Amino acid sequence: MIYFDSCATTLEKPESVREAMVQALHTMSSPGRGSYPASRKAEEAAYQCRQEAAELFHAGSPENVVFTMNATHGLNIAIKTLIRPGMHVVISGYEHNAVTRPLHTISDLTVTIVDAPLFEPEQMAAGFEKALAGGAQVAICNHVSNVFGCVQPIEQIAALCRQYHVPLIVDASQSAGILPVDLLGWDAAFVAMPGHKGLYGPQGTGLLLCNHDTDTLLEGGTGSASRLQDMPDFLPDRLEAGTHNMPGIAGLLAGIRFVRGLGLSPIAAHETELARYAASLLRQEEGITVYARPGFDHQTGVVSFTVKDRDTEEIGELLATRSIAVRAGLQCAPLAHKTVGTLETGTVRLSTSVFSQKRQVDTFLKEMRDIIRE
Amino acid sequence: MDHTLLIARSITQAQRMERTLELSGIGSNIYRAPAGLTDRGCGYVVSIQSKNLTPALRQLREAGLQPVKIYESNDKSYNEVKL
Repeated sequence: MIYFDSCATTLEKPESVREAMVQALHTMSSPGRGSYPASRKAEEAAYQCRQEAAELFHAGSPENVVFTMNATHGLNIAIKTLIRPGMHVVISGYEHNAVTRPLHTISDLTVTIVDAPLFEPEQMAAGFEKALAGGAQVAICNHVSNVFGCVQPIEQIAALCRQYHVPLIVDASQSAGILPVDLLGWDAAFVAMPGHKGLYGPQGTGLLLCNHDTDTLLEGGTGSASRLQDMPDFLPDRLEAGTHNMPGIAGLLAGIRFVRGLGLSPIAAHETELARYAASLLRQEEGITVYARPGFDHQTGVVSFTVKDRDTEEIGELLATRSIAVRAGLQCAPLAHKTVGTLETGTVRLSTSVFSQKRQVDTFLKEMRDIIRE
Repeated sequence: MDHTLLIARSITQAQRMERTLELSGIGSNIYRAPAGLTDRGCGYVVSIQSKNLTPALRQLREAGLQPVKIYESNDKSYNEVKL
């Protein structure tokens, strides 16, 4: 199979991740539960994962790194901590349902959507500034769109949020492990990310980087301050109720080490070049609209396209029968499609990983040509 | 040998304390806090040699770390150290 759905989850993982998970299954119990070797092993792995993540993402203390189930879990914590009914929130027009659905549950919100055109970061930043000047109380922005791969001007937006003293939530689902993420440099309140995409950890893992007081989403056992019935008032325990996913965390640690070993720049360059190559080949085919700039600037290893008079889901199915994995439809981000004008059709999305290869893009194009001619 | 027990609020804080002390050459051990020493239940101890208490507290303070409580341990008895 040729796998071009890394925006959903990376399927090919480093061998070190598998090994770490298998070892964890046999040797680790739960951290913070006892002094016996299996608990100690778990404690050590958990702490190292926090420490490596804190270093990679400039989160300061390892205690600011909270384990979550996925980015959605982290975003829910962040959104429900900062946003109350009646508030004014500004978001980009490219946000995922992991942002828009939690907002939808909060009553009487004024939501300003900055629907700047694709690949126009200056306009996006200007839109955020206008909203902040107009009284927005919380800002939410993804670092990279999961549909179109467009890189948002997070540094500029973060600077604006600092200027207006407005807390910022960054969805780093498509940038963690690819682009620099800088919690303290941005002075963001929260940065949420999955462990199972650009960090090459397993599904069921995520990280929430915290630079703000937090409300709890779940309450339960933490292995600390057990006599108290309130959740601990310190991180990470406050946000980590219940038993940790130690095989997942061990795998995530291995994935983070893999990413740090390679370096972000080579990873980003590899993925982006493959997507740019794919876009250039797709553009040569009649009837295909490719959502990318000619120079492929402000874009990562993600490219969406549509085929004239062809259903995007049908194209996804046909590619699947040819053992090529892409994602078709709305990619859980109808707002992004609404902003660009593809809400009725959706798109076919190709997203690369560090394991993707040029010859796979060539095969993908060959199959696409056959599909178009059918 | 006399030991001083630095009570940490969580395993993660205890680990941070251990690493901070290790970087400054102060050895320590982490273990579950005796039940009587933690009024909130379920804490962790970072145990150091008593002679290292002053430099240890200085290093921890510089790292922004504050033990919840401090106890001197001698022959299974514990005496709280008030700073």
